[in-house]
Amino acid sequence: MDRNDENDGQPARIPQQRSSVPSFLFLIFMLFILTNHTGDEFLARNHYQDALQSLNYQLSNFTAWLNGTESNFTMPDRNAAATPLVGSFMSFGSHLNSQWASYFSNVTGFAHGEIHFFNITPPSLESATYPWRTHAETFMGDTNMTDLVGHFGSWNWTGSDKISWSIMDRAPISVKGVTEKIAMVHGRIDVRHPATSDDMKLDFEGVHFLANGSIYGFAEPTGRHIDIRYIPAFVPEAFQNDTARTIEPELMSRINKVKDMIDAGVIDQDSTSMPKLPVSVTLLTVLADGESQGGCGFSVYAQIAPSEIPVEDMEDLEDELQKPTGRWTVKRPPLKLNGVLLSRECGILYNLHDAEGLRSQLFFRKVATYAGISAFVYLVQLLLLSRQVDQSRTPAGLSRVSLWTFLTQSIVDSVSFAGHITFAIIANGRPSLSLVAPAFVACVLFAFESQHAILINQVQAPEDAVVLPPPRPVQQEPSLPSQTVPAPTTAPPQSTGPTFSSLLFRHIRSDPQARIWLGMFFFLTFIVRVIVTPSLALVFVASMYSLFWLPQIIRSVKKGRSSALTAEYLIGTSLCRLFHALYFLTCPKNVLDVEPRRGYRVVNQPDLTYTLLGWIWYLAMFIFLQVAVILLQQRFGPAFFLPKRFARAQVHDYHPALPLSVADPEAPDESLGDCAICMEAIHTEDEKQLEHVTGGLLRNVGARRSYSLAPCQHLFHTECLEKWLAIKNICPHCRRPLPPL
Amino acid sequence: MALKRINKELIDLGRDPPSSCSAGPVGDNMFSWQATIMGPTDSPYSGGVFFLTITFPTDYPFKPPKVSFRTKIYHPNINANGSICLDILRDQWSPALTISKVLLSICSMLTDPNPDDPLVHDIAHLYKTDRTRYEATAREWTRKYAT
Repeated sequence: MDRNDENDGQPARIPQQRSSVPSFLFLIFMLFILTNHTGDEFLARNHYQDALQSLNYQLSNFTAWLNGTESNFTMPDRNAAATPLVGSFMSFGSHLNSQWASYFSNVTGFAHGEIHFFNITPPSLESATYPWRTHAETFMGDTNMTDLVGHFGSWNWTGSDKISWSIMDRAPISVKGVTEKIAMVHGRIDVRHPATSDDMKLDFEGVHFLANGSIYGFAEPTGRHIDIRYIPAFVPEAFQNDTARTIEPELMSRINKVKDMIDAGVIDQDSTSMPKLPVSVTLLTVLADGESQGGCGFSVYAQIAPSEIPVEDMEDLEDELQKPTGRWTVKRPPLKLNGVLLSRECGILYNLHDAEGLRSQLFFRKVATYAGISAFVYLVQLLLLSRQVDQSRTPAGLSRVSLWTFLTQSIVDSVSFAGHITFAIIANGRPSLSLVAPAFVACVLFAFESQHAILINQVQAPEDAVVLPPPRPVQQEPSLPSQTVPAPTTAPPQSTGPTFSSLLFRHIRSDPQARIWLGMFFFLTFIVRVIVTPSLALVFVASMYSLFWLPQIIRSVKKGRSSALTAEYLIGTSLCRLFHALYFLTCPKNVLDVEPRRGYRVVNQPDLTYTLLGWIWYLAMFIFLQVAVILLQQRFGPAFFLPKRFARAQVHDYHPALPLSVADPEAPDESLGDCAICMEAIHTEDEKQLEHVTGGLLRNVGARRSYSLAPCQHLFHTECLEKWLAIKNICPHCRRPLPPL
Repeated sequence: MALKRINKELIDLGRDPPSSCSAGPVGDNMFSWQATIMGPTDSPYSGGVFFLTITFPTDYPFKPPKVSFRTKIYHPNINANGSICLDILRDQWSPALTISKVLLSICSMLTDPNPDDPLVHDIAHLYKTDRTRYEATAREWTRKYAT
């Protein structure tokens, strides 16, 4: 006995040992792939030290320059032609009558708009007929054309037509002797090209004159250091000294911040969206990445359009926006920006006209609203799912729903969960944390769905395994030996030099575990990719959303059984799922601000501009077409849309016409044996009675349903077997799995 | 349906009684039975008569009946409360099983305990390591409680 026990134990232990090594390796590999940032921390610390040094140097020079003592710093000469050139595109604001109009005093937020490209390189200006041609020519002066081309890099500057500008407006600094209210602004400018999904990222630093709503500054490609000491050279002459005095304390506060950070040991690499630390510091940390897309530095001139509300009301409004108390304020006027981006290095002028600004406070409110609605939609989905699961909890019900329907849904929810939680974390600000709510519900939904999918798999796996063997044709067996005979003669040459790839391929094909790991690897990489690449996300949405109900239709047709999904679940879930897709892809002012996908712009043929109008609507129609098909399947039979010969493919017929072993049909004990479940005899007299009543019309359908013959040739009452199959779908006699009745 | 089938089983038991066991309803309630099992001769339980109670669920035969020993017995798969650890009384139940089949299974379990899936670990351990001591204890318990 003891020896037997040992023998029993060994085979059980061996697979465990086998599985732990590859899984361990796999996990290590995944961790390596997902977190390949080794050594960053050390680099970052060095960068902070460098940043501190260079800032200290800048400050000492700058202070010396301000005080008129000798220093290494000199303010560059202003380009006199810039002001008239910019002036021909936009007008700078003046002091307004405080009773009638005002400017937004804080523009923290995001501005979006179209930009128009103008080529102001000397050669192209010669043939141009712009009214501002002479200004541009003086502005460009005798720039070397080859230098210009060198700056361009790989980025397509001419085709860029969209700008998104995130601005962080800081509280105005009050400095002794400065009358003007000046606030430092920094942020990021993304220039977008319509054909590529890529952005040209520029970092922006500038000053904001609150009194006349003008912003001056400059933007450099990410990776270049912006020296804010040069900002005074861009502002109008009258403000130059005030600006310079404002910049000195700013430099000081930055130095203190870097010092604090080094002391506190905070090595924060977060430079996404709204940077927490001064841009120049984050810049230094990414210096190592170098320049990638070419480098054109721009000087930025922007003007906030005046709003027609008195200054007092505007101050109220600002207070309310900064610290919401629920107090009534005037209706928020739109925030419009006009501006010019001017690059002498590259001979580029971008005109920004009526860019729409969205204040971050409002944006956060929008995010919170979205999070609320989205969480509610997910809750509805959860409710629908739980009701559906309640309906199809029995094995009989489970065998009638498609595994893939729930798997795709759980994949979508897992991506949604990861996406929401990612945005909740990276958009660092308290309001964005509200995104945790939909993320949480999506996560619960994901867990629920995948659990249901596992349950379905447990029920269906043995059943599908049973259904498959019968169709194996008997005829092939004789031909099998003849095929294997030539095989050995061809195999040896192959096996003499088995390449690594062929070995790997064979291993993957033969080892189910390898397949699982490989599948998981691709799946995880895919999910991570989907979140970070917008174009892949679109493909993902399109493919996953169109696949929700399709497997269900196919399964119903294959098994000859209509689905167990309720109409409520089908329609409700489709609507809820479409809410997210439609919100992000068609709502023009959605949270993510993805461009509405109206269609593909065919560049070469302007006539065909909007060929594919709104594929998302087609997707929605496709989903509801699938829902309609499933509902019709429940009503008219699973294969109603197919020609008869394709229908009823792999169905087991539980009610075949049994040859009655009785010669004398009038015998009273005409029975097919006892039903093992209720132990009563299975009679066919129902058939007789029915035949009597209906005149034999229903001979082949109705009466035979009183008994059921399982594939293992065991006979039961249909009623009894149905009840048992609702509990477990195995044969009561021989425990073989049974197909759905 | 349950009552019909229980009646039928009772008739079958009377018509064709199994060799070493018997069973029948206690009072008027057909859902509550009493059964006896004679200890198998090739086991340490031989000579003992063991009483069991059987409670049928209302959805019998789709759910297994509840069977438990009322007589104390020293067995790896039966605990002090008389609960029996037998797969066909739990997840391996099938509606094609009957009470007589269940009782026969319990009989064969008395002859061949299953120490790999025990209910009382001490007895199972003793059964595996020191068979003679186990048999002696089982015999003593049978003499003490089942005769």
